[in-house]
Amino acid sequence: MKPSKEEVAELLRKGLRIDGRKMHDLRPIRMEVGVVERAEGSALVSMGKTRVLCVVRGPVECVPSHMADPERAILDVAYRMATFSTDERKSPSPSRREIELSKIIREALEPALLLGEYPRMMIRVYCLVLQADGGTRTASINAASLALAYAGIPMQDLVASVAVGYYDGKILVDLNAAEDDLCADIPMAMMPAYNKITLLQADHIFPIDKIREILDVGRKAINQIYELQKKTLKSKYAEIAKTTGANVGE
Amino acid sequence: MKGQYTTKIVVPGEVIAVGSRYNVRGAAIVKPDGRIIATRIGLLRMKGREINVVPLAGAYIPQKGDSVIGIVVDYSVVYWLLEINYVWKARLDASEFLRRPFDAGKERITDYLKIGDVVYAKIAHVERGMPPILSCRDKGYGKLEGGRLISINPVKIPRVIGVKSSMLDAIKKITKAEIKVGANGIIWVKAERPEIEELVEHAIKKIERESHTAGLTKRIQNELMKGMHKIQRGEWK
Repeated sequence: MKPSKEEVAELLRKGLRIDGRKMHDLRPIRMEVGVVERAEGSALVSMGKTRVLCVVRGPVECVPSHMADPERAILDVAYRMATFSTDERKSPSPSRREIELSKIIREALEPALLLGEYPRMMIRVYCLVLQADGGTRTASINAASLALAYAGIPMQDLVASVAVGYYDGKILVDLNAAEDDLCADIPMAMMPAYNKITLLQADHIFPIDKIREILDVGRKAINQIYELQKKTLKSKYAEIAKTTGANVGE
Repeated sequence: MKGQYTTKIVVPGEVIAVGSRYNVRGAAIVKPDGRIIATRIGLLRMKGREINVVPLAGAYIPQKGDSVIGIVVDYSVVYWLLEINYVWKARLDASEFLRRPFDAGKERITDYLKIGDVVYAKIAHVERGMPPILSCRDKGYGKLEGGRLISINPVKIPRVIGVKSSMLDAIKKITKAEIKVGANGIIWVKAERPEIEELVEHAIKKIERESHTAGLTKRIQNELMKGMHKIQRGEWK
């Protein structure tokens, strides 16, 4: 049963959350890379009930060719929600929102990628939301950055992302759909190695003097996700080494 | 060479070291603040001041002088186009393949190579963002007949060859197979019996999968030896 707005609000005022988390807790996160064999890179990321599959192809020839940049590769991001990902069937045609989020995700990832190594080429990133429960763009960014790294695309850092919420003087992290409907939602993405923000949005009103606190809380959560991303990538290779009984090394 | 290196897996964004006294090679960049940061998932090999990040994943990018294996997919009057596992198809001029001038008025290009033929060639010229140019002028290059093709991740090719060709020599010695290795991730194998080719394919796939582990040459040698015994006794399934 879906909780009503009033129930969520009442709990939040008490500093509690509908799924039993503390205010600054992330939802349980699961990450896996190399889930699609045919593609150069792929990742499956779950943040709570939100689940996103990301597939990376490339570098490939730039299509349409007039888009080709002689200096660098172009990044083509497609964010889509599966028809079965929401409560009501989602129409399969790309919505205005999906097109916008594709752009947002591309812009969050681009600063991390060293696209100059692949002039006139194209890197394709598909993010498919399998199940939506708030924070699909942030899960997509986390998955895309893993899939890009697994594909061996040169990048100066992984991008990690989380949404921070603000409601009635309280800051909360990694909103689910019920909280997202109620709170001011501030999705952010960072390159943690450089302490640089690559995405910052806000879709509601919140007091501006809270922004530092919001960013700090977000940064802490992002660092947790970042460590998990690194661990996921490394364990993929450590796993293989383990089955042979040999150490990593040459 | 073993033991002197410290090796570990690094991921993009990972700080390898700080300072200007290092000699950095491979998939890593030096930032203005002196931090040396890995740019790809790879194996870090560190020895004194030497830092080298050997990528564990990534696409094939042709370099001048690479030996590659290509498949003819298209042709014009004076050149063929070969699929070499790159964004663009590579061009092989008829005169470069035949090692003599080619007269399109008197002879047909398809008399020499047809669509689907396999060629071992060298990258003669590459320009950023353009189709590469191939050549077969040097010794050992040309059409490959019979055998089978094995496709692996191009970044694993150095491991198939091994240090000073140790791995490749071991495979050749044990199986007596003819092997050509393309830097683009395509390997051609031809042996007396198809079972041996199958065995080599199996071994190469194992190298690809376990490329980042230690003691691989030894394990592959053992496996090939066992495999050859099985084949000789007719037990190879």
